[in-house]
Amino acid sequence: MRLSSKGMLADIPVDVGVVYEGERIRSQQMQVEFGGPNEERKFELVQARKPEEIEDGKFIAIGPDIKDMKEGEHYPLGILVEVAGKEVERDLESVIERRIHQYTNYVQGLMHLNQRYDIWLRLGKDSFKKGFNSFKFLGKVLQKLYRAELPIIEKIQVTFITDPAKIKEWYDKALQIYEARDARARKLREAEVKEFYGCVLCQSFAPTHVCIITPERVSLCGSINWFDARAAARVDPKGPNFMVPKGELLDPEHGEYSGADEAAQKKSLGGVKKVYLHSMFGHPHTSCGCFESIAFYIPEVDGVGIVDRHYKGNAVNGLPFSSMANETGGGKQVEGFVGIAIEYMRSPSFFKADGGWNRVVWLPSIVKERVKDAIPPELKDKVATEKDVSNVQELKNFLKAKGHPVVSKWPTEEAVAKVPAIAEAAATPEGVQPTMTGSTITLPMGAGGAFGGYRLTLKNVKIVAKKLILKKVK
Amino acid sequence: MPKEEIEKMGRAILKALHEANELTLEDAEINAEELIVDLVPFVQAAVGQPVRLPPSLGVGVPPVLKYFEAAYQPPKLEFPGKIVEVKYGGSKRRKKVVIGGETTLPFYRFMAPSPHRPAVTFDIFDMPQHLPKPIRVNFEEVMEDPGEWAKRAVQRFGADAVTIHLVSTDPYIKNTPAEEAGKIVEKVLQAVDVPVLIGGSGNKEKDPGVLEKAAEVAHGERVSLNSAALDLDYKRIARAAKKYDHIVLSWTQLDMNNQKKLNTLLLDEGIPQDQIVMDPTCAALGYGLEYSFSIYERIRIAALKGDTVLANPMSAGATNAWGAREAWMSEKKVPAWGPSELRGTIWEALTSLTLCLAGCNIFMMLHPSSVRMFKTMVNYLMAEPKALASSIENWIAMKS
Amino acid sequence: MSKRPSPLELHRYLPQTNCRKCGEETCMAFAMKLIDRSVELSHCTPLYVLEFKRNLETLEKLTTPPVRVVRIGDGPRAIKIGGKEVVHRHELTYINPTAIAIDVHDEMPEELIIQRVKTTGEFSIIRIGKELKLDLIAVRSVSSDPKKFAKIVEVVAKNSNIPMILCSFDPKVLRAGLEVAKGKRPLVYAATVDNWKEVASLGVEFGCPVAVFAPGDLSAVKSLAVTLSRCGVPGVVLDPGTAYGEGVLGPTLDRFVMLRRAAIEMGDGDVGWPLMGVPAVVWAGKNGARTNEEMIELASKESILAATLMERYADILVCHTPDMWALLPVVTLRQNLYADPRIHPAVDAGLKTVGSPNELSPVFLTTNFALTYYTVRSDIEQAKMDAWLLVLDTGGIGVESSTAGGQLNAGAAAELVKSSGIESKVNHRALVIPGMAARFQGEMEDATKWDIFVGPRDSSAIPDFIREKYVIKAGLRFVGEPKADSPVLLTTNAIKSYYTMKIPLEGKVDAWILTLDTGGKELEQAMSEKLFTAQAVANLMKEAEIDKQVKHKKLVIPAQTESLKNDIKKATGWDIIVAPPDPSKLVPSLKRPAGK
Repeated sequence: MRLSSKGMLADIPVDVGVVYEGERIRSQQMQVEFGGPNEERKFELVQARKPEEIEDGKFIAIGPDIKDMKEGEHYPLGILVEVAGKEVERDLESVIERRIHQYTNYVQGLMHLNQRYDIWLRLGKDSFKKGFNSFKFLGKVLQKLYRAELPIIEKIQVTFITDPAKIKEWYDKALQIYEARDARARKLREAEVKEFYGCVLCQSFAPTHVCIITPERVSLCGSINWFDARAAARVDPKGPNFMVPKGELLDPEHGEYSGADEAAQKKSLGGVKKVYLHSMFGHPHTSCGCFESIAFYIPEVDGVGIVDRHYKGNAVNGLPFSSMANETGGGKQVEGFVGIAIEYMRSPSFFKADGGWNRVVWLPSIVKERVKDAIPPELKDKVATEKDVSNVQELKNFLKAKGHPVVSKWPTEEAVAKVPAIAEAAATPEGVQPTMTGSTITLPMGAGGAFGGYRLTLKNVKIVAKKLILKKVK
Repeated sequence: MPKEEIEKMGRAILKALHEANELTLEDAEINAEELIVDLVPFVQAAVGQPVRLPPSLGVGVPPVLKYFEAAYQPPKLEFPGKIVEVKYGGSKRRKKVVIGGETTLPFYRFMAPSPHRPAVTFDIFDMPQHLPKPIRVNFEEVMEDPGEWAKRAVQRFGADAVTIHLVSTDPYIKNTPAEEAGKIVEKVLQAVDVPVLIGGSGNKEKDPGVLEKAAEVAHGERVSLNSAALDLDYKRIARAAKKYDHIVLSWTQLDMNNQKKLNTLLLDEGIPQDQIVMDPTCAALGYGLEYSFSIYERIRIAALKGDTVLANPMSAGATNAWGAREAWMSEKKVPAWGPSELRGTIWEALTSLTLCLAGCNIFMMLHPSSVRMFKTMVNYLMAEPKALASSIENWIAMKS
Repeated sequence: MSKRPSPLELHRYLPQTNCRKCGEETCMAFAMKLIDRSVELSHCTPLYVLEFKRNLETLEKLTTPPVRVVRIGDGPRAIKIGGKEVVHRHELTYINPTAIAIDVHDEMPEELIIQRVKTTGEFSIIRIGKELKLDLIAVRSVSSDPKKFAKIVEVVAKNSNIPMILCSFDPKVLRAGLEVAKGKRPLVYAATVDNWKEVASLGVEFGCPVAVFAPGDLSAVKSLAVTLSRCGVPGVVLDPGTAYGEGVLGPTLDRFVMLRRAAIEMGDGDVGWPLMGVPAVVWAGKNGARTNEEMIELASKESILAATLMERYADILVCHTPDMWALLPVVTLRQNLYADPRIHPAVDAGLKTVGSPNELSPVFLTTNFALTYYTVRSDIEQAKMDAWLLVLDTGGIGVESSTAGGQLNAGAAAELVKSSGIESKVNHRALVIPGMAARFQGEMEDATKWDIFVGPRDSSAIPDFIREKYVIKAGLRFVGEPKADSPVLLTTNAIKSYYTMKIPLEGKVDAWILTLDTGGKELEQAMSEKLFTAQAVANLMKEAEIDKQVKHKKLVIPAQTESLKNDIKKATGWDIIVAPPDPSKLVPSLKRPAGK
C-alpha cells in the first residue's frame, strides 16, 4: 500500500504510513486515552447502509472532541463507520471492520489495540501538539483509506461517540449486532448460499491446489472463512479469492458440487477433477502446505487422528507432523491424509461422509481442549490424547475400553484370518514349488508350516498317478 | 498291507530319497483317509536378513541373448495456448526485435521450431557505474556518455537492443529531473538503430514521472518502459505506454499470483496484450536461481495450457548474476574458486541460459563474453537440424 | 502432476501387522517412508513369503519410479542415479543429483592420471551448509589395447575410491578393465547395436550396469535398453548421443526431452532409465596442442553445455575439465536444481556479522529464510556497511509470510536477543526490524526492552534508511516509569550519546531523558558545530514542558559538556549536575542525595 502525506492525506497534521503500524504510546507520552482497561464502554462497528441513509465524507461527533479533553485522562469511545455501495452488504461488515485497527495505527502517534468491544486507543502528546486535536482527522484518514483500498465502498460516514450518557445505548446495540453476526456465521449452511469461494493464495507453493471455501468449510490455513473470502473476492477481484458458483449438489454424502469440481479442474489445469468437500477418501480436497493440522487415517483402528502444526513429537501413529505434511501437501489429492483448519472440526459437515466425530480417535490434548465444545458429549472421553496413549496398540486398547464407535466396525477375533487382502491360490497347476524370478531359498527340512504357507488337507482321497516323482530340492 | 509292512516300506522310501535325488514310483496309487500336503513357502534362509532382490532382473541367471526390437513412440503433448508476439522498435527504428510466438515448450523442436530467437539487451547507465572489473574494462572510456556506451554495446559486442538505466534520477543519487532524463533518452535513441528499453532508477515515487517523460520523448520508437509494479503508480506508466504506443515491462517478485494480477491490471488499463512483457524476477545462480527457473517454467506451461493472462513473453535481469559473490570475488580472497574473470562470465551466461530453457525471451546482460557464450548456444539451438556427424562416436577416442 | 501412490494405497498391500521389523512403528509409517524413498521395500522382510507374492509385485510396481534407479560403484562413495518421478521440478522435486564424471584416458601419462583422479576425488565445496562433490572417473580407451586399459583402470582404482565408468566399444578392452575392477561395480560404457551381445554378457557376468549408445536413433536406444534389461543386466543407462554445434545441439536436447517425457508421461517403462550426457564432446576434433585461450574457451563451453544437459534431464555427465572455475557454476546449478521446492531453505539462526561490526554498529533483525538472509546480507555488504545480523529461526519462512504466520513475533525476537548475547556486543539498544514487521514494533519494544526502529520494506533501501532514519527521536524520552521526583538527564539523539546515558539506567532507575536534536551527531562534534548549545537545551526543555512533569529543577548533563555547565544553568534556571565520566558510576551518583 502506498501512502503519502503529500497526496490525499496532505491535510492531516501528522504523518500517516504503514511504518507506524506497530508504535506504542506509553502513559508518559500520552495526551489522552480512549477505551482500554479503564473504561467499561468502548466499541468499533461497521454498518452497511442504504445510500440514501448516509452522506459521503460526513463526520459526526457525539460528545467532547479531543481538544476538549483533559490531558492524561481516559474516555469512553464508540467508532461507528457506516458504508454504502452496490456491492456492500451485511455479510461484509466484519471484514471491513477489521481494517479500522490497521488504518488507525497508520497515523503517527495514534495507537489502536484489539477490536470490537475491546478497543484501546491512545493519542501521543507529540501528535497532539502538531495539531492532531480532533476526531475529524481520524475520520478523514478512515474515509480516505477505505475509499482508496476498497472501491466497493461508494459512500462512507464516520461517527465518534464519547458522551458517557449517549454511549450506553450504542454500546448495548453494538453487542447485540456482534452476537447476531457470530450466530449467523455459526449457523449458515451450504444449502443456504448460491456461491462458494475459491482461494489460490498458496498456489505459489502448490501449483495445483485450490481451497474451496463454503460456510461449512473454512480454508485449511484457518485464516479465510466464507465471509472473508466473499469480501476479498468483491474487494480485490484480480486477487487470489474468487467466486465459485455452487452448481448442482452431485453427492450430498460426500459434499460434491458441480461448481466446485469445475473450479478445481480449472485452477489445477486439469490435475484435479473431482472434489469431495467433506470426506478423506475417494476424492479428498487437496492441501497446499500451510494447513493448521492434518487429519490422518489410522488403519489399525479404522479411525482418524488429527495433529496440529505446533504439536511436537510423534503423533499416535509414530509419525510427526512434518513427515505427514510432506505427503499431505503439494496440491495432491491423498486419500487418508487431508490438511484442515482446526475450525473445520466445528463444522456441521465435518468429514460427514466418513462419520465425522464418530471416527475421530486421537487428538493432541491442547487441540482437544480448544475444540471441546464441538465434540459430542457422549464421545468426549472416548477420544484419546497423547496423555492417554502413546502408540497404536495402546490406542486400540483405549478405544475398546471406552467403547468408541469405531470399535463396532472392527473385524471380530475369530474372523481375523492371517490371510492377506490379496491371496494367491493354493498350488500352481504344474507343481508345488513357488517360482519367483530370482533366487529361491528353501527351508531346511522339517520346518513345514512353521513360517506360514498353506496346508492342503485332502480327505478320503484317491490319487492315481502314472508317475509320482519325489525330488530333493537343494 | 500290514502296518509293519507299511512302516518298512515307508522307511525304505525315505532312505532311498535320502540317498538319491529323485525317486520315481510308477503306476502308483494312493488311497488315503487324509492326506496332508504342506506347501513350502519361499522364505529367507536366515532370520532377519533382508533379501535384496532386484525386482525384475535375476542375478546369476544366464542371460537370454535375444535382441528385442522395440519401436520408440514420441510423447504426444498438446498445447492449446500460444505466446503473444511482441515487437520492439517502431516505424522510426531501423532495426526491430520480435520475441514470443511460441506454441510449444522452449526448444521442443521436435514439436515446432522457435519462431523468434531469444534477444539480448545490454545494460547501460546514464552515469558511470561501479561495475565488476571484468565488465568495466570493456566500457571504461565510454561510461561518461550514454550514447557512446550504447554504440559500443551494439557495434562491438552485438547487442540486439540496449536498456538505458536512468539511475541518476534517483532522488538519493542526483535527482535528475524527468526533463533532463528525457534528453538522455533522446541521445541514446539517436546513437543506435536497435530498439531501446528504458529503466527508471527504482525509486517508486520518481519512476512514473521519469517514464512518462521518456515515453513522450520516444513516441514512435516503441521502446519498453521498465517497469510497472504493484507497489508503485503503475497506472501512470500504463497510460503513457498506451498513449505513446510503447511496451510495458510487468515486473513482480517471484510470485505467480502477483504476476497474473499485475498483468490483468495492465490489460484493464487498455494496453494491448502485445505490448506487455513479463519480468517475474531473475535471482542469481546460487542465490535463488531455482525459484526463478521454476516460476518461469510454470508461467510458460500455464500459458501454453491456455491461461491467456500469462501468455506474454518474458524478460530476465541476468545481470543480477553479478550479485553473487562467486561471480566477482577475487581469487586472492578465495583461492579455491579459481580466476574470477573466468568464473564471472560463466556465471552470467549460465543464468541466462537456465532461464532461456525455462521460456525467457529477452535477457538483460552486461558482460560481453557472457553475451557471446550465451548467443553461441542460442545460435546452435536455433539452427536448422543437421545430420549427426559420425565423429560423435569418437569422444571416447579423443586424445585431449 | 506426479503419479505417486498415496500411503493408504501402499498400506493396503503391506502385512499390516505393525511388527516393526523394518524399524518403523507402524506399517503406515513405513508406507509413508516408502513414498519419500527414505526406506526400501526390502526392509519389510515379512513381505517375502509366498502369500504376499502378488502384494510384493504390486508394491514393486507402485514404488518403482518411472525412471529407475541405477547404482554405480561400491563402498562409501557409491552413487545412485535416476529415480526421477516428474519432468519439471516444481511438480514434486528432483532426487539423486546429476552425477558428474571427469575423464582420464590410457594415453595420458600416469602422473597426469593420478593428479586428475585425486583432484576429482578430493573436490569439495561447502555451499549453504552442504558439501558439493564430484562423483565418478570416466576411464577411456584411446589405444584400444586391453592391457593398457587394464593398467590405467588399476591406477585409478588404487588412487581413489570413487566409482568408475569404463569407456570403450570393444568388448575385449572392457573385459580387461572389468577384470581389474572386480567388485567395484563400474558403469560399463557402452553397448551398441553392433556389440550388444558381448557387452550385455559382460554386464551380467560382472554384475555391472551398462550404458547403451545409439546416437540419434531412439528406437535403437529403446531396443537396446529392453534387450539388455531382459538379458539380466542389473541397470541400464541411456546415451542418445550428445552433439555440440549448429543444428545438432537442438536435436540432442530433443532426444533427451523425448526419452524423459516418454518414460514419465507415457509410462514407457522401456526407456525408464537414467540419461547420460557427454559435455566432454566439445573437446573432440583437434588433436594437436591447444593455446591457453583455446583451453579456456573450450572449458567455458563445456561448462555451459553441462548445465544445459543437466537442465534437460541428464542424470549423469562426463566432463573433461577438472578446473574449479568451470565446475563451480555447474555444481552450484546442480545444488539449485535439486533443491526440494517443498522445503524452505534455511540458514542457521543466531547472531551473524557483516563486515567488522563494533559496539556501535547497527543491529538488524531478519529471518533465516535463505533468500532473505543472503539478500539482506548482500545489500548491507554492497553498501560497505558493518553490521550485526540477528537471524531469527522462522523455519526458513520469509518475512512477509512469517509475519502473517506468527513465526516472526515479539516473543521469539526477545528470546533471540537474550540467547545471542548481542547485548554484550553493542553499546546501544537499537534494533532495526524489517519494514514488513512494522506492526510488531510496540510488542517488540515491550518484549526486548530495546528501541525498535522500523526499517525499510526492501533491504536494498537499508543504506538510505541508516542515513536518514536511523536516529533517535528527539524530545522527551524516558527510562522505566518516571514520576514527578525522578531524575532528569540530558543527552543528544546520536546513538552513542543516547545509549551511554540510557543503558546504565535500564532496570535500575526510572528517569526522564531530554534528547536534544543534533541531527544524530555525537556530543563532541555537536558542540563544535554549535548544535549543542545552552540555548538549544533551554528550548528543548520548554518544548518538552519538562517543568510540568517534574517537581524538582535538577538537570544531569553529560560529562563531556561540563564546559557548558554555567551557560546551561543561566539559560534554563535549573541546577546543573555533571554526570560522572565513567558510565558505571552514573546510577550510584543519582542515588546519592543531590549534590552539586
